[in-house]
Amino acid sequence: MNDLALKKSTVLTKNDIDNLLRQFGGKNQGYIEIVDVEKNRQTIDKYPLIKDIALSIKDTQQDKLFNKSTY
Amino acid sequence: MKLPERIIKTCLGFLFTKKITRFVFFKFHGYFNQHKISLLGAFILPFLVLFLSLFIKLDKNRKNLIKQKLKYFYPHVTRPVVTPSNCVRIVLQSIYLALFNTTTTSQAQISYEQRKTWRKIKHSLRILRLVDKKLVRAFKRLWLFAKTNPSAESYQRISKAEIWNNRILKIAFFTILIFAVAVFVTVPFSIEAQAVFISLLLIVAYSLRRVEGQMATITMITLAVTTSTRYLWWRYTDTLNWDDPVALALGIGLLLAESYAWLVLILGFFQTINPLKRKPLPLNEDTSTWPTVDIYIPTYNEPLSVVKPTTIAAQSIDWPADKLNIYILDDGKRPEFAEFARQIGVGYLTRSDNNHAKAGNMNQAMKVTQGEYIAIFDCDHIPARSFLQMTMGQFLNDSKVCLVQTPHHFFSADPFERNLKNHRKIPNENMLFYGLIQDGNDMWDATFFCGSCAVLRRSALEEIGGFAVETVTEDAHTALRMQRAGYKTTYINIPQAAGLATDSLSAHVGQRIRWARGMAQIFRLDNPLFGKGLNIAQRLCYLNAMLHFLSGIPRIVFLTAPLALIYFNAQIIYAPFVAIFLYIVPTLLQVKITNSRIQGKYRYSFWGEVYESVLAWYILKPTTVALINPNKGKFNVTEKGGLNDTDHYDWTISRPYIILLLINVIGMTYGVFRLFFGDTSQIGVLIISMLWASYNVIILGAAVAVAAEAKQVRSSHRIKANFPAAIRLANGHTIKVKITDYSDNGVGLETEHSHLCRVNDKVELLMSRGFKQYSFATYICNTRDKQLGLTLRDLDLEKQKAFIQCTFSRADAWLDWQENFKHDKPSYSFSNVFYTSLRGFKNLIFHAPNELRPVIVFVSQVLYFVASLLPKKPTKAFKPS
Amino acid sequence: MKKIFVKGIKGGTGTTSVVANLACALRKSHETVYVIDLDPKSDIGLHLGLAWDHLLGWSDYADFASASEQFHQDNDGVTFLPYGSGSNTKSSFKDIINHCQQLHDSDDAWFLFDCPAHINALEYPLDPEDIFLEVINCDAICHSLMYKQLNFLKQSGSSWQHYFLTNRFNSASELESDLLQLWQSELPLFAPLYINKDEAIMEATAFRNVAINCAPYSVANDDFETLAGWLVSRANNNES
Repeated sequence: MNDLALKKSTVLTKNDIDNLLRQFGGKNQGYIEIVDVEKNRQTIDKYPLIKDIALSIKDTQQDKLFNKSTY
Repeated sequence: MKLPERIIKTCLGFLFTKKITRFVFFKFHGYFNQHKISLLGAFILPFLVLFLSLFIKLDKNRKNLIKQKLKYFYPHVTRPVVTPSNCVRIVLQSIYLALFNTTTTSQAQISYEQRKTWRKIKHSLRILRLVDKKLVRAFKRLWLFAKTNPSAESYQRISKAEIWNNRILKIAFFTILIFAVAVFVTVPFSIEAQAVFISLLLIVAYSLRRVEGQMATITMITLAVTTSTRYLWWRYTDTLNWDDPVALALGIGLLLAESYAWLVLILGFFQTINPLKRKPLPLNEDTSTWPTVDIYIPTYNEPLSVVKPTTIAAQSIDWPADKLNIYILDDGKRPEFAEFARQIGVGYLTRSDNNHAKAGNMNQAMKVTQGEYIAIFDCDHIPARSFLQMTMGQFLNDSKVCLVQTPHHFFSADPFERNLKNHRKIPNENMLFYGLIQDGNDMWDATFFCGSCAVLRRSALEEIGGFAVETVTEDAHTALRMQRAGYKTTYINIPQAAGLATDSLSAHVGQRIRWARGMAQIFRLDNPLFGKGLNIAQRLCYLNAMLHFLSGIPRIVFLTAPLALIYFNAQIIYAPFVAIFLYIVPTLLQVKITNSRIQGKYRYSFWGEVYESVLAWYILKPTTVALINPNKGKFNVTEKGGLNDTDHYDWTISRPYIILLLINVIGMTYGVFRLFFGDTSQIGVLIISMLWASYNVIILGAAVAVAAEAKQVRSSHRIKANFPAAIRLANGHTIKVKITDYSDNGVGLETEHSHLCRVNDKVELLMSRGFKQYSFATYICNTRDKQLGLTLRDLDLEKQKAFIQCTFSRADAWLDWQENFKHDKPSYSFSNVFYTSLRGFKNLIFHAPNELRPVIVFVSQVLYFVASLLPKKPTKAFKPS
Repeated sequence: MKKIFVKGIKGGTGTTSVVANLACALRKSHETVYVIDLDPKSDIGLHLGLAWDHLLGWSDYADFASASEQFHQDNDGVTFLPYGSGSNTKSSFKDIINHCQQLHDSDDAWFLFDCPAHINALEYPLDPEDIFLEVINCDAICHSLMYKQLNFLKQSGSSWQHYFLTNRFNSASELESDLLQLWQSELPLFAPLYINKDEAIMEATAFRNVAINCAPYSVANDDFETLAGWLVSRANNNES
């Protein structure tokens, strides 16, 4: 049953970072995928509906919900 | 019938019958017209035949029989038969047939014989292999036994004992060790003792070559050091001919070259005995603690198409955008670069002058930028997106670290690979340094800066006053200064960027000349052997790097040494033939085996000699000049990105090799001459010299082969790859694919199943970078059963950026730089060099300038003609019909 | 017993095909899979080879014992229970969910529930190990609905594992690309994978089959494999 858990799909979701870490870093190595904050800001500004929602969320100060372990 | 014929006919009619006359004329016409025999010959021959027919019954069958027999025994005689050359042939063949036993064996018989000999050879080879295997296995068992033996516990106890911490005891132990080694090295052996000693060592070394592990390597190194030191000692004490001044002078020259080689060998062992293989360190998860980094991309005259991918890839490095600043440092002050920088949003810096080339450029940039760290990429070195996260950890972990260097990897073929067509088949010249030597340097904390694909700490640079400008290799000099100031340097042996190799052999040589000159300047202006701030290991590593560039003179000495004996009969090695054989050959074997073991994945045997020979002549002068007067000589930039549009042979650059080759070839023929006609007392030494000369000829032939510049067809380089992607067809269906190669505007891919796409179909290419997926509009430009070639269309700047992020900038893009290379096999490598050498000769002849061509054609024709005169063994079975 | 609830955040996001393909993907890894159709549209059967005129399902029976006669098995070995025509008003989906635990080989089995879009997650009897997938498409409406749902979940204090799963993702669309990137970094409870838009998924239903079987070399195949793998690792994490 566990082989499905370990199996990673090879198309489009296979990460080149995994390759790198597999060879040199091991599982403990933390690689941070940088968030393109600028791009996100542009998206929010570009679409008025998104912008409205973003503003109202900030007003209500919503806490982030996390599951036990997201990834 | 013409008048003279009529006259003759009537004359003959008096003597002979009508039948005979007709026969004579028939034969005459036949000989004259068909067989093209001369008039007189054609006339006389029928009479000869008639005369013979009086004695021998020449009916049709007999005649055919005789004809066949003659043809069989004289197979190389050409039609027409009666020519002077044929006479020579017939005479020689008759002598040959008379004197030698030409067994008229059938083809079946011959192949049977061949098979028998072949079987014998195979059988003996099998026995050899069996012995070899048994030996190796025995040694392996012995080795493991020594390692895992319970009595090894006592050994462990001893080695871990507190006694070693006692300084005096340690010194005493090492003194005794050195004394023992010295004794071993200097004790003069008789010939027999030497033979035994040497064979023992060789057997041990040979059997150890399959045993893995560091201890076996250290053992082999020790053996190699012992043998080579012994050899050198013997040379110094026993083989100089003090009586003959010429021999003495030449002998000392050779001895100095050999001492150089020995020194480089010892230092090399020291340098690479334990490569550090440093692992990248992870950064703190909180990216707000990460430092700011400036990326400098200095450029001078390279085209924009080369700089574009580098800049785009630099932008996509995984680092917080507010802590990453990219600058193009343009010494060429070109407006299109400024425009490009503005378009994609990177900094663009120029300066008013161009002093001190790249170093000056970067120093000026340092004045107007503020990043805590500075990463430098040559304008054609495209970084992977993981570059900073793989390297910056070293700085944050240890505040004394001032440099993190990564390998220079090339995605295009360097001149050796391109012209010899062994791209990705054998490790290239670069690989030894970045794969092994720099890693070894790292062990001794002696990594030096290579000018690109590295990150430096700004505060360290400022402490030493910026990048060094006094030499032409400002990179190594800068690292040296920082090390003197007490900083540490590190090397991460993971390729995180790749660039273009030099275009042509002349550009390559030009680049090496610059490095050689720079190194020599450093040694004159800021000698690493002296001065404070470096420990002994660092000094030795720098010394080795310097010595590497001084290899010009020794290499030329080695390439011409055997000729001293052949031409001048000068006894440069004054010792009996047996002694020479017993000392030289085992040492060479030992050294070759050990080097093959240490460097096996990074450089194949014998290619080092080829690379050195190619450069030897050219680095001679600059290094000598720089050593004497470091400030002379101008700085020439290496050009990148040019195109070679025709197949041609670079005569200018190969002139030295051709001259050396000629000297050696003439020497060899002269040596053959002397072998047969000279005095026989020197024969052993003569043969050794000729063997050495023939080895030189092979190496030089390979060097000559490199100068045949192959045509570069593509303007954009195609890079091999292996990562997954997908395509979406016009009908909405998707297909999983594997990208097998990419260039800057297209990809080649492979499907698992035959696809039904056709050329010019529009297809959407889906590739990912991390978790992000990008879609590219492409059309199919070529197709085969399971393969497709796609060309990107509608590439705006955003799409270009995305494409580079998904291909060139992948974190694993260059990880397989070493994976395809199997470990070195010296014999196989030698045959490789040999065939390359043959190709070199063929190239010489093929590309010969037109003036020489008639000479070559004439010479080959003469050789062919002479060969045809020689007797030939009748091969076909003679079957009387 | 592992329970996965799959619901569209609004109608028409492709929930049923996700369930069918996911079931098949899990089955291909030799898991025991049960699919329970809780959607009155009752169309999971069409994905799994059920005859069109077979109208009966669990909603036509009063007790579970008789309803369990309606379990069918498709060619891959996925056992499924159609909704039916809803003729028996006493049947409720909550009972069915609870009864499933009584099935004798239910310890290691996977139960996939195809949920209708109009019933909110809060109405289901969910345990902390249960996984609730809300299927979304990449558009602004789903963006708005997701934030509303997040408010909802926060106020009601959800204890189960809730994820938003993107379906029909088309990277060629600028809007979809932008939104997905935004969600990946900003949106809580966002699943770290997505199902690409693939004609094969839609085409497969016309063949009364799932994309995994009809187009084994397609991206959809891989996407569902990845989804199955991720769910397995989530379930393993829950157990440990």
